[in-house]
Amino acid sequence: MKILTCPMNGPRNINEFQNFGPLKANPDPDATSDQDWARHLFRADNSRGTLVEWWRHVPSNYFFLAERNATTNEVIRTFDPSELEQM
Amino acid sequence: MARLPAPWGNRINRDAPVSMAGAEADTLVQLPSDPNVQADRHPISAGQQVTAQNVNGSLARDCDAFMDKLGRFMLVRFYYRTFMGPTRNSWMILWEPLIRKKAGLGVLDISAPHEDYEKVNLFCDLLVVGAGLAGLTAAIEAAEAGADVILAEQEPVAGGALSYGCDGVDRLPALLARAEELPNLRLMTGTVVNGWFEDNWLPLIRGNKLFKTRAREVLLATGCIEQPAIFRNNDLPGMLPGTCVQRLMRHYGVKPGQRAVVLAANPDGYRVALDLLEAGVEQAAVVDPRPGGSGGALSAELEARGKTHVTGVRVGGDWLDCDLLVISVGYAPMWQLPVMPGPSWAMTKIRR
Repeated sequence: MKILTCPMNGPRNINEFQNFGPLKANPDPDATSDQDWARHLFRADNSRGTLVEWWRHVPSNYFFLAERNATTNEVIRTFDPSELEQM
Repeated sequence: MARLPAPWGNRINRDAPVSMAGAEADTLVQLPSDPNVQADRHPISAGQQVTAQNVNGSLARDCDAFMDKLGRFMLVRFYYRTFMGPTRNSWMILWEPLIRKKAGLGVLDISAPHEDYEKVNLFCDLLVVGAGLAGLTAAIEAAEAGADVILAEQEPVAGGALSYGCDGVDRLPALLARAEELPNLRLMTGTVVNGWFEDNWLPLIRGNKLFKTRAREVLLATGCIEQPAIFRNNDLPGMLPGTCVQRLMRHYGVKPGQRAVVLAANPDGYRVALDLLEAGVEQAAVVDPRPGGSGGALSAELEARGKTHVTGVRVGGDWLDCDLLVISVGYAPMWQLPVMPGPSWAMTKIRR
């Protein structure tokens, strides 16, 4: 079983986590057509290579971000969402 | 040993040799509440009922024994591609039920008594797989350096080849004593490491217990398994790998036969021949198939005969009577664990 290092709880088994898809910019709800909004909500690119994803540690209900290589399934780093503002 | 099948191969209803190491699917027997038990892996107990699985009638009077004669017509192939005709759904209504029956797998007992299967979580710095000379030495060294070590061995006794081979047997008691006195070294015998999953998560199975083990590092010292030789009738009972013969003699005190032919293509084969002499087994011949050996070109020269047990071996032109053929021709690494997570594989020749 894979281990994922939660920024708050430390290394835990992967079955304690839930994936919430890749991080993407929110489009402006007023200026976006219904079709594009649905696409934004429900379609993922499913791209190869490194991506930043939302994850949740389920027992503690803590959301965080993980940088992961989608090809090799290697987790490069995990970090708290507050670091996003500095990025 | 029971007449046994390889359901995926062509050996419908043939006897099969054993390795005494659980390395074959051909020693399956039926216990009252447990089908497909590996006979060479299962300790016997008083009053235990064991029945052969792949026979029609009894093992001694098997109504399907005539199938042995048809071996040359049964090539290795996919059943469901070969048995297509004569009509469109013949496979489903005719061939499949017939072949399932002949494949000889065991019978499930639905009223079998309930048994408990436990799960335990284990954590360690280092998991060493295989308690042979390499595994024991490595585990002891790591434990002496302060690491928390688990040493898993699938045999009931630790020591690997040291416990049955004649080379370096005297080193074993000291190693076992040292392993015993180290508090941070856990030696688990009779434990099979059943897989190797992500981030070193490994299931260890001992009897009815599953140890879900998370190791920081894994070290494989799984050793190797003896390979069979290829010749006509090479799957008759009475043909045993050299290490199997040594296990039978040293672990179980069983005299493996009365009159033996030893096929020795490496020094270990000769060592087995010496062991057999020591155990009082008469030796018909030691055959060395290597160039310059006494056997010559093997594939054309060697053949065995016998119906339910080997009774003779032909080397060159002469038939030698024997009830045991010891085969010691080479080894293959036990690499089932490392190929599971799929690292790339390479063999390196080591000069000594």
